[in-house]
Amino acid sequence: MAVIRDVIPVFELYQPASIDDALKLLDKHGTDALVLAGGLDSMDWLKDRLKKPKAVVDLGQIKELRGVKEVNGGLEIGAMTPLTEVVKHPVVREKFSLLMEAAELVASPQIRNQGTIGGNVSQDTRCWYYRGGWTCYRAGGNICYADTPTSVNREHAIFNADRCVAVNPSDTAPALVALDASMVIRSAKGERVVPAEQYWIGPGIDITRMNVLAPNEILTAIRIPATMAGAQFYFEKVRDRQVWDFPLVNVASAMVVSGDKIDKIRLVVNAVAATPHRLAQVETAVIGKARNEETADMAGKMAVEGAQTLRHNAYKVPLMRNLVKRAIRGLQGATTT
Amino acid sequence: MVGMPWEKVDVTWGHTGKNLPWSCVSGGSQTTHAHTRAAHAAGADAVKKLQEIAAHTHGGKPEQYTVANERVSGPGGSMTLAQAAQKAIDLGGRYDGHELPDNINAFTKTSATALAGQGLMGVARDTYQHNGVTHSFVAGFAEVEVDLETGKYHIVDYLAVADVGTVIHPRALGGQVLGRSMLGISHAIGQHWVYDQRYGVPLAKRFYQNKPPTILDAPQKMAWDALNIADPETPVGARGIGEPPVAAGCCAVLNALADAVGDDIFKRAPVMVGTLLAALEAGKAVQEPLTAHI
Repeated sequence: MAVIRDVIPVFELYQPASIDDALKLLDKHGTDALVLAGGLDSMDWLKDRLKKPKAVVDLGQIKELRGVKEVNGGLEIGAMTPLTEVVKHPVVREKFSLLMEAAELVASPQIRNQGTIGGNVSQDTRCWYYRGGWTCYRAGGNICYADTPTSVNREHAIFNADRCVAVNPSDTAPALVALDASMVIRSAKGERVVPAEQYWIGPGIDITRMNVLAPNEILTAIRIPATMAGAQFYFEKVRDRQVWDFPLVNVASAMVVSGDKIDKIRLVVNAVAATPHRLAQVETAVIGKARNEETADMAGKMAVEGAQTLRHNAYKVPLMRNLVKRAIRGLQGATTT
Repeated sequence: MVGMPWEKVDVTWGHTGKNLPWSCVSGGSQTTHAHTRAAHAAGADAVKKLQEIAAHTHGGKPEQYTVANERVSGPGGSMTLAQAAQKAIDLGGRYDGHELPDNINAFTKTSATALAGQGLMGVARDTYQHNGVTHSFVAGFAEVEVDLETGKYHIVDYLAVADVGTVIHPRALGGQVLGRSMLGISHAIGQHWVYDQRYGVPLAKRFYQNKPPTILDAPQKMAWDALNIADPETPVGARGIGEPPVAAGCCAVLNALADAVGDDIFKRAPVMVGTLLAALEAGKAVQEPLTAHI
């Protein structure tokens, strides 16, 4: 029988008006519930009939989840704040332009109007085997179809693969790690705050999830401390198309420079592993050094040490190396022909 | 041919309820060529009938009458096209569609029969000569800029020059030339189907996966021109457009890339970030042969 696609399966739609009501629904429905933010990730799953939740809990009516607030020189961004609002917010632009740049490079203007920052950071991987409904490790099976001698895996991982070689596709995630953000998570039992760096989890920890959210939890807000406000930022995303595309590799860095020496830096690359890939060793190595071509070159080379490539993704190694190099050096001096 | 100002022409789009005849098939990049020939044949038949009606009414020979300025005029006098149409209905027979040529298409015959008796009818089969082929040609020129650190490139400038015979409708032609060039450019820069080689299952099912180009992937500057040299194999002089710019767009971009980074860097399209970067890194082409369309 033909597989019917593009007709979403039947579910009960809930549109709670408060976080408490949403959490009660999640407690009631457990793993039978799907949490819906902007829908850019969820609707694909539903239209392909690959996820058939009994209940969909739409967070779109919860006003307290939306908006950007200034808190102690930093920001608290509601998880349901559309990316466009994040991009336009004056404090984001003035003090945390790294996040503005990252959010503005997400997908397309229409998707940024509908897509939320919480959804962007919590989205599932885009591995086309997994998203195509193949019964892989991540989908509960016992094989990775993207990691075989004949697999088509140009967009897959070069770091920290563990059975699954899928990558995290978010643009805002590396920027938030670079800004030392933390994620506010709520369940019926209360609130917990997780550093952004620990929000995402690799397949070695849980191969079926991209982040620490349990089925009864909601990401309610993202807090950005004042730590990196007004630092020197660099964000670059390389993608196949100039709009409406996921990153092949992106890089985010936040740097404080004293004189000509790098005083403080947080450097993160995404789409190379299942989680945003913070380059802590590179950070340590460049601190105290001049922000110049030599340091940049060293940082780039160091960043890709240990990379393991697949059949089609070897290009990600020079791409990541050069993006890290640029993040340290800046775009000036780029070679074009 | 009938000398009717465009403003007074009533264009009626395909509508079976109005008994309109079928057009020729829109395909093979032959539509403009085929359709203008057929329209020319029907127009020539209408002019011939107008001349005959005028001569019949005012005396003299049909060839002494000319059709212009919404009138048929000659040595014996002049009449409006409306008067000639009324006369065609009065005369009946082949003038108003009650008698039809034997060689016309069955669908045309059905339409003409249903429309008969409403005015003067030009109806004929295209019997003009057609020696050789009537393909159009397009030359594409592209300038690209490649970022050697990321493999990203963009098309700075693109020009397509078309040899399509007589230009019938410049704006529509320009849309075809640049639109279809863009299709070819998309084959060069990234649009692709991807199948898993072991299982034969399509992987690139969504737009973000098969990557049709976006408006920001289009060349920063795009221009077109046409030679406007009439084709001698048709009385109108026009040939078709449609597919010819595809190869021009694709190949112009690929050639520009080869010129920028070297002839041996890639062997096939699409040429994406990874193709260029991996080859530049290795100092030689590392692209696999076309076994996986990625």
